[in-house]
Parts: sequence; structure tokens; C-alpha cells
Amino acid sequence: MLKMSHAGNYLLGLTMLHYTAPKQADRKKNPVAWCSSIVPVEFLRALDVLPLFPENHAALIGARKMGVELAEAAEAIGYSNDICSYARADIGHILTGKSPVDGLARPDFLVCCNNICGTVVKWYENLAKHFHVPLFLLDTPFNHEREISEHSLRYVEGQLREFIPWLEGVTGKIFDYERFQEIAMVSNETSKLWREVLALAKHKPAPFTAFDTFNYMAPIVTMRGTPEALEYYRLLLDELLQKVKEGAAAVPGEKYRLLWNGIPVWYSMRPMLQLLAKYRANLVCSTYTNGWVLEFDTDNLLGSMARVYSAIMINQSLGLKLTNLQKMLSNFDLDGIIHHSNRSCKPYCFGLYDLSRQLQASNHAVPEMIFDGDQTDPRHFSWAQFESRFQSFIEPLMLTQSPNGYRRQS
Amino acid sequence: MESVLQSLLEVAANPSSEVSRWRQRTGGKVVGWLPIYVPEEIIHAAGALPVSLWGGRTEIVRADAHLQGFACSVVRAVLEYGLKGTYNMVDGFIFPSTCDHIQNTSDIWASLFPDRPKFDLVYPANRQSKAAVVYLEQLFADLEQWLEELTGQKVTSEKLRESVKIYNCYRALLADLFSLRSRKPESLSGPEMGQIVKSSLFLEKAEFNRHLSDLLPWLEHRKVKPAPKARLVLTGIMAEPQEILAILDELGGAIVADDLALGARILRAPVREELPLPAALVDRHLRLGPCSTLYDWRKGRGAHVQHLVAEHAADGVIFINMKFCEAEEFDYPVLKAELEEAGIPLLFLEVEQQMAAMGQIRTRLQAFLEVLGKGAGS
Ligand code: SF4
Ligand code: SF4
Repeated sequence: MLKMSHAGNYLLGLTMLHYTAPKQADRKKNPVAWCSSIVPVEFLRALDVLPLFPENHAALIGARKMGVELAEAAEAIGYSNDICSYARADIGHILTGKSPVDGLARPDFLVCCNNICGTVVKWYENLAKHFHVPLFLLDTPFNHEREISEHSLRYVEGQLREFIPWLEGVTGKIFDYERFQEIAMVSNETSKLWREVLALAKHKPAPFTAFDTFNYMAPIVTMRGTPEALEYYRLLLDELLQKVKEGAAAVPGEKYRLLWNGIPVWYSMRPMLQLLAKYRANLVCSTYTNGWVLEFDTDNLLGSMARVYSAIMINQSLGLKLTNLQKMLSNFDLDGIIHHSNRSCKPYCFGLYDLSRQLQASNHAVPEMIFDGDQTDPRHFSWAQFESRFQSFIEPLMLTQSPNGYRRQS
Repeated sequence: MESVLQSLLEVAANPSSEVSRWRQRTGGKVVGWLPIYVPEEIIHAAGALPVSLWGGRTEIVRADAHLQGFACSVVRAVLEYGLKGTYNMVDGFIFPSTCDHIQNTSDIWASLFPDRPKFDLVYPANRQSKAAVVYLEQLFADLEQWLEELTGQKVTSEKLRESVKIYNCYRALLADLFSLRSRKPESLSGPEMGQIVKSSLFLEKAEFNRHLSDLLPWLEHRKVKPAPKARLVLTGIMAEPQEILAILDELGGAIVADDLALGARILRAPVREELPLPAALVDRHLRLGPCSTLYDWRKGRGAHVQHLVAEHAADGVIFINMKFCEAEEFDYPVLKAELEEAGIPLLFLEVEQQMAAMGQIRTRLQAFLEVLGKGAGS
């Protein structure tokens, strides 16, 4: 491990701030909201609401290997083991008080958007019942077509308009549209930097791995719309550009460039990184981290927010998911794909088998592997299976690969 | 009358031959719909036969190549039936946005059967929103147009009004049947009750209505089993596998009310005939619930189940859980806590459509009924 960089230190500070500030907040000035992972936080920031993200917290729980213990606490009161492990782990934290960051401050209200799954809708219903606090659902209808329909967008925009008075009601504050616009600009700028950071992986060798981006992503998820998050991505981009200039490689001798399709296996990132590095394989990008590249048209904020928040990839048709994969394959000049068939995240992985078949039939075919896992609950993951599937995936690649230089797809 | 009952039971036992028969007889189109809510009136008004595609007991052979084993058994069975040709007599398919399982299965379906007509009925989940009304009106208008193209028949307001009448009558008749089940549980065996409801999901409704209205007076005086030892409320997606109902009969337990998706949930909320159409269908959809698959921040299911227990003088509740159905699985801990607090005994039974071994289910039901018999928990 390299010594902690400037941006790295800044990130640690931000994470601390994110989890501690709500605990000390004067709730009149800074109410606390629990939110699903991709909600329009710009509205909340405009009212000085401090958002917390149970999914992000659950990812930390997973990374600190507390997933089983906390999931079991939820299971003990009747939550099925079939339910998404983020929900189980986070509910387990509510029940036991255990957490890697000393817990989440109690919410004053909840905001949920189903652009990632239907699971969060049920999860937030239960949170609303448990905490006796108001809940706003932003419904972004699933898009089965190539284009999101206009009437669906109008419906989402209509809800965004209703969100404003709802927020005024629960916070007792007046919504300032200009402030909201400023925050949306900051948010936009931050997303742009995040997109630029991710795009640096196009360089050969890539200056970082997708595993690194799973850490880099925390502020874009939790602090989007704040000057601090913006500053973090400026620092990060500078550092990474410097690395590119120096030709630094995240995986020395990078030979195979791979894509990660799915949520990380939070408790097993290091062994995976090491296994890949042994074969000089680097995960250079993922479909996951792209979820937070959210750029709005500031001249038509509500309309474009309706579109951007609806267009999250996991909320789109299989056809669009395929196109997205194909684009990434050529943009990042990739040699293969690792798919996470994740027992927790049904919407992310039902359809994976057909997605893979379609990709194989297209002129973007690259070797693929699918493994069974779970992002937080290691009881549904087998290292032995991962390792052996990875070997059978990488070995043919080694045979076809020219010894120096990259294999190009037509 | 016995023969009328038998004919309904046959339809439920072998729906595809009944559906094929209808198709041959009328030359009409068959429209299959997945769980849970579909405005069947519009399908009916387009001259098509709406049939429910809620899976069933079939060995999963082909579907495993497309759907992971942690998809619920309903969508796995639907895909299996699709792949093995059971649905060949179905001309069009409706996939509602009930849950992530169905939503994603719809896309898998589209890639497997690109040429079979399909309509994605993506409902507004935020029914509190004013914008939902406009959205839903448009959705039903799109559905109507799709059906017109499929059947080549116009959905006139006259036809729609007629269909609404038929469906309201159907709901009223089933309400009568449900009332009978509570007043005179001896009149029908558990499986018979389940099969009558199921048959209604494959028969043209005017025809079904005729059968059921003939049957009801006769059933009042029928007695097929002794008075129950325990009166039960059943909540969940569906009462399958049906052996469970036979086991309950044997053990002396009677379902006197249900909160099943394939049951009371789809039969609630008659259309308000005084409203203009199709706005009245929109209005009905906005009034449906409580249901695990319809967003409800108040979590009204607990109160509803308790209300059923009181209204039907039930001794306990069975939560029949379709494994991997997260919508239901999230409701369970909340309901469990509420019923515990109210002192209402609750049994959690986990099922899959494909399960064959009933031994464990029998043991658990037996133990539960013994507890109820001793009056524990009250
Ligand atoms: S189901 Fe998937 S998208 Fe939904 S909360 Fe769980 S991991 Fe996130
Ligand atoms: S049983 Fe549950 S998960 Fe399965 S299709 Fe029905 S609602 Fe969806």
C-alpha cells in the first residue's frame, strides 16, 4: 500500500464529517433524512437537510466484515435471509446499535427513490413505521423500451414539484429556488469531475483499479451538492492526472483490462485485487460507479432531473443495458467482463444470463465470467468458486493474448 | 348442481384445455396477464379472454438458463411454461410492474419471444401523487390501444360499461362466496374453495357469473366436512400448493377469510359505476390495497388482517410466504410484531410452487392447530 495521498486524507475527513455532523446537528436548522442511494439530494441540500444513506452505511458494514452479525440480528426478528443484505445489515444496526461508524443519527424523515429497485420501497415503508417519521417516495417507472416515455417523465417531474412543498412541510422551512439552482450547479460540476475521474481508466496502463473507485465514490454518493465533495474530486483528479503523466500503473505490467458488472463484494475486495494482480489483470471500470454520473441541464432543472434520476441503468431495459456494456467495452478497450450474480440485488442481476448471451452473439463479444455472490453477506459467496471461475475465465485469455500490446476488438 | 361445481373444478385443474376450447369456439384472442393487478375489464371489452398467468407446479428445466434460482417460483414457472409451449394459445401478454422479479422477467421474455405481443403495464407506484392520475389515464389508454390492435376490435364506451357491470357482478358474487365460507365453512372443502376462485381466472366472466349464481343457493345447504376446530385467516400471495388446503381440512382448520393476492386482494374495490369511464378504472386502481406490492407508508396490512380476524371470529392467522417474494418478506416482521402485540396467534409457512414434500408443512400446521386448540396465545 502506498502512503496515504492528500486526496485520501481528505476522503477520510469527509467520511468522518458525513457520519458525525448529523449526530451533532441542531435538528431545527439541519434536519436529518435517510435516503436511498440515488435520490435528488439537491432539494435536501437547498434546505440544509443532512442526508444519510443506509446503503452506503451497509457497504461499510460489509467492508468491515460485520455483515453476518448484523444481518442475523434482523433475521432474528423475522427478516428473511432472501431479502437484500443491505437492508438486513442496516436494520440489524438499528436493532443492535452496532456499526463501523458508531451508527446513523436518527432520521427526521425519509426519502426513497425506486430508480434502483423495488426493495428500497419496502425497506423504507418499514423504516417509516419503525421511526414514526414521514416518507416521500419518488417513483421513477421502469423503462422497458429504448427511450423513456414522455408521459413517464412528466409524472416524475410532477412528483419533483410536489416534493418541494412536502419538504417545506416536514422541515418547516421555505424552499429557496435560487439556492437550489446553485446547489444543482455544484452537484453538476462534481458529477462532471467524477465522470472525468472514471474516464482516466482509458489510459494504458490505468492509474487505478475499479476497487479504488469503490472507495473514491463515497462523496459523490453521500455529499453530492456540497463544496467539500467538489473539492475532493478536484484533488483526486489532479492526483490521478499526475499519475497518468508519470505512467504509473495500478496493476504493474497491466495486461488484461476488465469490466466489473455489479455491486462490489465489499468484504472480499482485497483478495480479489490480489488474485487479479497475480495475472496482471486490472478491473478498470464498472457499471456500478457510473450510476452517480448525474448531469443536469440547468436551464430546465426539474425536467432534466426527472430524466437523469429515471435513467439509472438498473432501471432500464435489457437492450439499453447491453448497449451500455458494448459502449464501455470499446471506450475502455476491454478484454473481458466479470458479472456479479448477486443474491441480494435482484434487479441488477435477473437477466444477466441473457445479457451475456446477447453480448456473445454481438460483434462486441469478449470472454465473460459470472460468479454467485452477495455484496454484504458472505454466507452467499464462495471464494473457491470465484477463484476457479476466474481461472477458467483468464486462462483462455492468456492463450489468445498477444504477448505485448492489447488485443483489439473489431 | 354437483355437475356445475365439477365443471368449475375441472377448469381450475386443467385451465389450458378450457382456454383452448374458448379460443376455438369464439375465434377470439387470449390475453395472459401476470400477477397481481390488471384492469381485466378493458381486455374483456376488447373481446379477448383475460387469463391469469400465475405460474404453477412444473419442474423447472428450461427456465434455469435464464433466471437464477433466487427468483421467486412464480416467475420461474411462468418462464418455464413459456419455453415449453404451455402458453401457445395465449396471443398477448401483460406484465405489470408488480415487483423486480416480474419487471426483469418481462425483459428476459422480450428477448426470448421478440415476436409475441407484450404490454408492460408499468403502474405509478406513488399513488398519492396528483401526477399519478394523469400517468395512469395515459397508461390505460395505451393498454386499450394495444388491445385494439391485438384483437382488431374497438373498445367502445358501451362495451366497456358492459364489461364493468359484469366484473362488478363477479366481485359481488365472490364476496357472497367468501361470506358463505365464513358463515358455513362446512359447505365447501378447502381445495374446492381455492379451485372455484382459480377457475374464475380462466373463464369468461359472464359465464362464470352464471355458474356461480346457480351454485350459491345450493351451497348454502351443502355440508362436506364437520364444523371446524379452528377458524383461520390466510394472508400471502396465493394458497399454493393446494395440498395445504386439503391438509387443513383433515386437521380441522378452516380458512374463513383471506388476504391473498390471488384471492381477496384482486377482488376488492368494485368499480364506481357512477363515474365516467375509463376514469372509473383509474379510480379503482388508486383505491386498491392494502397489498405488499402497492406502496403504503402507513403499513395498513396489519390493521386489515386484525380487522379480518375480528370480523370473522378467527382463532389465528397463517402467513403463507412465497419464497423469495421480498414484498411479502418485508411485510412479515411488521405484521408479526403487530399480531404478537394484539395477542393473535400467527404461523409462518414458507412455500414454493414447485415444492412436492408436504411433510414439514403438515407437522407445522398440526402443531399450530394444537396450540390454537389449547387456546394458547389468546
Ligand atoms: S436490492 Fe440492489 S439496488 Fe436495491 S438496495 Fe439492495 S443492493 Fe441496492
Ligand atoms: S410472488 Fe412476489 S416476487 Fe413473485 S411475482 Fe409475485 S409479487 Fe413478485
